[in-house]
Amino acid sequence: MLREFCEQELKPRAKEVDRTGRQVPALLRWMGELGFFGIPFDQKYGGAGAGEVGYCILMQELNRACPSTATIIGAHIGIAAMSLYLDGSEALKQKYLPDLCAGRTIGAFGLTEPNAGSDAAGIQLRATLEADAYCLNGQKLWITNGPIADVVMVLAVTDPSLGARGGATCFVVEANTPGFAAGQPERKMGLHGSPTSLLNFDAVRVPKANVLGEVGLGFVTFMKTLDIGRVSLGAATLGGAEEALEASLRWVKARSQFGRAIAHMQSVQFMLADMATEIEALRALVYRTAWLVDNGQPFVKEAGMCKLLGSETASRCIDRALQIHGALGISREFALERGWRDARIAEIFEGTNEIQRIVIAGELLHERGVRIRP
Amino acid sequence: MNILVLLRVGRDPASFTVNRKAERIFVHRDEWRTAPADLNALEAALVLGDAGHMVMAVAIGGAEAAVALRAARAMGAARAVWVQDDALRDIDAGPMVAVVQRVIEHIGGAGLVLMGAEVPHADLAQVAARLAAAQGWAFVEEDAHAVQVEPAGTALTVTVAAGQGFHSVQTNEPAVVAVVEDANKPRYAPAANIVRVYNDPGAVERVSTTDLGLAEEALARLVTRRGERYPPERVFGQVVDGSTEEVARQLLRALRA
Repeated sequence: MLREFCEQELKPRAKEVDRTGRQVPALLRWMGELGFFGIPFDQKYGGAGAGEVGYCILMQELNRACPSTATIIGAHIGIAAMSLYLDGSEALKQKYLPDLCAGRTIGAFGLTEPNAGSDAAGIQLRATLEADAYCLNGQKLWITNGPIADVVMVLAVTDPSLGARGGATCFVVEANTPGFAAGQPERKMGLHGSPTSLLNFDAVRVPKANVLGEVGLGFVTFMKTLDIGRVSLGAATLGGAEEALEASLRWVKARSQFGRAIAHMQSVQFMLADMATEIEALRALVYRTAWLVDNGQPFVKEAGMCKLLGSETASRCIDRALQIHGALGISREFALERGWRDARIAEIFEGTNEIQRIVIAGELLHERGVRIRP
Repeated sequence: MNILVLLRVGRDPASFTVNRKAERIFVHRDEWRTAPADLNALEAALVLGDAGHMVMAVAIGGAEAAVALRAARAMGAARAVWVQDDALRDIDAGPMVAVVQRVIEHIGGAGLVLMGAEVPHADLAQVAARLAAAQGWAFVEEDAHAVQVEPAGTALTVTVAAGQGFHSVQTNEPAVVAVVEDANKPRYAPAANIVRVYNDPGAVERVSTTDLGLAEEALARLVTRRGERYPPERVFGQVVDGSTEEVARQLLRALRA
């Protein structure tokens, strides 16, 4: 049913969304009504209760059809609403999650800053306690959903003497708060339909009740959230890779060279075999990791692997598909060129692949009693 | 009013290839789908369900029938009855009518039975007419798009396509209406419903032909398959080029030949 929706409603609009850089608001509302924006969360908050496995299925199907839409929903669920779901107080969850799950409000997750990317602990956005509210000053950069967000989960330094680990706190900031402003959407290589911008905080007063989790432990909340987000990002890349393989399988039957379909050529067969093998390995990893999440098992290492293997597999598969399609692969009339542009960012956002390798190695060594200090 | 919708599940046409040269059907994947017109019938029923009528779905066959029924429940059907029998996958119109008749009894009667007017398995397109005849009920088939139940009494109004427009056909319940493909846009199931239905072991009620009191002879096929013949391989067309006049001349020559 999910696939039908994506195939019939999203895919036919994906090219136009990429060309214009504008989403179809009615489509997002429709997805909200169908419950796509709250797939993993408990039904008592308005979610579907499908857990991480259900969420991975959603991301896989969305990214097959329209990576821009998948990115909007991925940032909304996987990191924005998820951080609230993981560590928010019951009052905060009751206040924000029902609207987030129904898509009536859009969420964003503010971590990256001019001087804090892979070094997430280097954030400088400052939150100062003034009576019953915190006053936020600073900037966040490259925030997915920034221009369209109604609610932003923001990590800010509350105690500079402790640094990010112990001195950073997470806040739920409403976009209509005075002093908050989103910048113009960035002009990017891909994901044109997924708006990304800087966020400016100029004496933004956030009530103490909007502290997400505990004061000083915001960095832990954000890292926990990113760990889970990597699983669904792996699922999204799986969808992109599958779509590239499907397109290739259709094309090799239709395209003839040297008097026969190119499906009969071993060089092409090898590319198809490599794509299919990597995709199956990724599928097994992603859904096993989603199962670990749903069953309360440790998953940090596997989540890093999902993101690492997924993003690189998708890039390789789409690149091979483009090669199989020849000149048509780079034509703007076909989806592959767009897929190639859209896929590249997965090796960068939500923790670069270099960071994933550090995470995976750190976990591996930690399991053997070696503690790697960041 | 109870409204019964029949869902006929067959192999997805994308999952097999008819190879004329080898005179064989190659099944590539075990994939099934509900006949598209049956989904239109379900949507027509769910519109009535939104107005307070009780929509029940029925499907016959193996596990793929249960999948179709879970989807129907997620879309909004109040009840689903799965006549479970792998042997009934290749059922034809005769025994299918017998099964549906017993299902109608099983659910305590129905005022309206809806199903698609077209089914990829051509023989099953007869089911609606045969069921109506067997039950002695009214039957509306031709290009039916939607059904309305009059608030008072038992009258039904069926919207039927006619030429460039539509006209209404009035009848009384009980009736069988065959809904044409693309008569409406079937709704998508909300995510929460999908999860709820798939977590509920009782979402689909399972019955056997024995439970329905069907004897073996009632399930005998109407048609006996004696063999299979395949159409000849398709011959590639000839591409003609040149000026418009030349192309027209060549076309005429080819048509005359």
